[in-house]
Amino acid sequence: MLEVNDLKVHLDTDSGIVKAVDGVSFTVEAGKTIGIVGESGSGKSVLAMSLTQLNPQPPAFYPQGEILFEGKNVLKRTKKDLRKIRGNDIAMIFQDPMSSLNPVFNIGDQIKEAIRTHDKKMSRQDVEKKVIELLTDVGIPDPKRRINDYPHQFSGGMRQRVLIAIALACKPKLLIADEPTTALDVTIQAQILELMKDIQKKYGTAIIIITHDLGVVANIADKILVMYAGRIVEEGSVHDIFYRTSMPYTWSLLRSLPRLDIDESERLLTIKGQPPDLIHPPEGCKFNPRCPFVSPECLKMDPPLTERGSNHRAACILSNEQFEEAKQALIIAERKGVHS
Amino acid sequence: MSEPLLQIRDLNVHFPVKEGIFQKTTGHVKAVNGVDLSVNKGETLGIVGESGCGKSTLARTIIGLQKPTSGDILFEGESLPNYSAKQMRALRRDIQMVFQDPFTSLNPRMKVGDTIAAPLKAYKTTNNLEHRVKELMELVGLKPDDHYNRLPHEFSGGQRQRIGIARAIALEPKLIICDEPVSALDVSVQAQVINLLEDLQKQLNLTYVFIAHDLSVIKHIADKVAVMYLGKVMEMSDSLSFYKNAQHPYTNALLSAIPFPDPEKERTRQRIVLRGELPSPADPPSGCVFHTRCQFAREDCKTNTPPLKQKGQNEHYVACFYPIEREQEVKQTKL
Repeated sequence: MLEVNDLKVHLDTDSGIVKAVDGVSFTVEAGKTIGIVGESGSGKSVLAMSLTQLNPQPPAFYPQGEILFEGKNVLKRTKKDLRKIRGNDIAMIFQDPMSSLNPVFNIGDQIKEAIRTHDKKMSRQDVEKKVIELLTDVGIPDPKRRINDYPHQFSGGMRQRVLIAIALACKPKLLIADEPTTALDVTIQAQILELMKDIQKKYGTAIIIITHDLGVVANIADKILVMYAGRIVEEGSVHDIFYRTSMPYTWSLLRSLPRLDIDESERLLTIKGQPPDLIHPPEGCKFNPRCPFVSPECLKMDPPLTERGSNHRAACILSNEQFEEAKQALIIAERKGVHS
Repeated sequence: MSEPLLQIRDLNVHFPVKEGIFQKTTGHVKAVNGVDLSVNKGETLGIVGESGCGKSTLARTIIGLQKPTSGDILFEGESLPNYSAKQMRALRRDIQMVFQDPFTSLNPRMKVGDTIAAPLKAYKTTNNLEHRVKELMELVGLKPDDHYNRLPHEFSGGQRQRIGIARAIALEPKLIICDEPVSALDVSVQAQVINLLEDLQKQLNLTYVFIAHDLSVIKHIADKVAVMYLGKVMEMSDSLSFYKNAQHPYTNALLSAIPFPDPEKERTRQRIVLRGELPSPADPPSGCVFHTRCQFAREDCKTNTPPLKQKGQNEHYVACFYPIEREQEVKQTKL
């Protein structure tokens, strides 16, 4: 349904060109959920915004690549076409439910606006009925009364539900959720994730969920893309990423999480150093300054994504076997370090 | 490791709600509502709760930024709320704070070296300021020679949090209040900062009150955990017993809401999904404050308030009439 080919999104800033997205390819199938995981500055949000051309231009520009939505390149559509796609075919929900709603309109009007923008012929009563239906779908209690309420009368979780209702107003084929639960409490996060799954079942919407929380993608995603410094460094099914990890970054990230589900050693394992500067990224593999398995070759070339199994790709010069060996050696060395 | 450094006794912090043109007080937000806690020397007390549960107000009250409505805070046996401004000033050497947001808690126009030196200057503790600052920078993993004259914007979130920590430990405090110190940081950097805090605790014999909403982070660092809901402590226990044997329905809901980074476990586990929303702290429910969202609530939960009572052998306290017994829950998952 959606195909992104070798996409580059660069930002022209005063201090230089930021290569926020630097050669990314992936596909999204109808009815599936894709998780894009990465730390701040990995380019995941810029990538998401570029899918509906929401990055302000300038500073953003697209030196290379194409985004095919149902076969047509989004990058070449006119403004008018794009307005039709946004909301109608591809809808977005954002991280901050506090600032994504207009505080001076009641939420009923804001949902109506979304419906009317794309369907001007619908009668007033039908629109009203649809709004109540949508609010019921996203689990807002007593929707008939609540449509006259203003955003400040809703809690964070409820506002996120309203935003999901707006996003669903035109039955989009693709829903892009940029950190939809990051600003919410964990108990509310659990509710919203359940809601997103229910909606996918009911409407068959494809979902792209962008998050830094590996727990969230473990819960909801079918396929995962791991981003680092503007590139995809590993992609595969949920099981590939969590159980057959093939890229040192993904592996280190998983190891550094404080875990509730396993009793772990006293000390947390860390990834040394800081996330890279995208204006002056490191030579060769972008992860090399922080990688525990770095070799001189890593400084020379940036490894491309290579096949690691069916639909599982990783960007590392180590083969699966070499990586496995290196991991074991590191774990043994660490244990010795602890004992000595 | 034995005597309590900080004791909080029946602490209440209420904020008046004012309405109308005459600003008449129409009610109170009970941000902290009868909290009893204590922290021993060299230990870490983790305080967990969702937004609006009063955990940050509690932190601000301990450090003296907020006056309590009633109740007592004892630091080394001395009652803080009755301190004069002068005594308070002396006390601030002993109690320091690390803030959540490393982007707004540092002065953007002050060089890093000066930021860390500020508390040292204020208390005139040392003659060789630069030497001490560099020593502190070394201690938190910053490069003294390289970073001394830089400005905060040149640093990433994790490094800024290190600067904030260096500032907090500059006066060799006894107690550090950490208010969500890692929640604004990236996962890969979170672990570094948690480890740093643990190392410093051992080296400098620090006591922490560690406030967070993330139970997995608390699990790592805390010796003792308290869960707050609508200004009240729901459950309190040593960390080990807490995670193995959480008894309050709210604690169990919190624990089960955190997604495991393991798809098999995550997709097969039993979840307690809380219904509804957090009630307004200006108008908390009668009886047990949690009863409106509790699936185990019975009639008497609506009228009577359960006290924080010791359960079992350990120092495990639960404020619930019908705590969850572990065996019972195991049976449920089997069904």
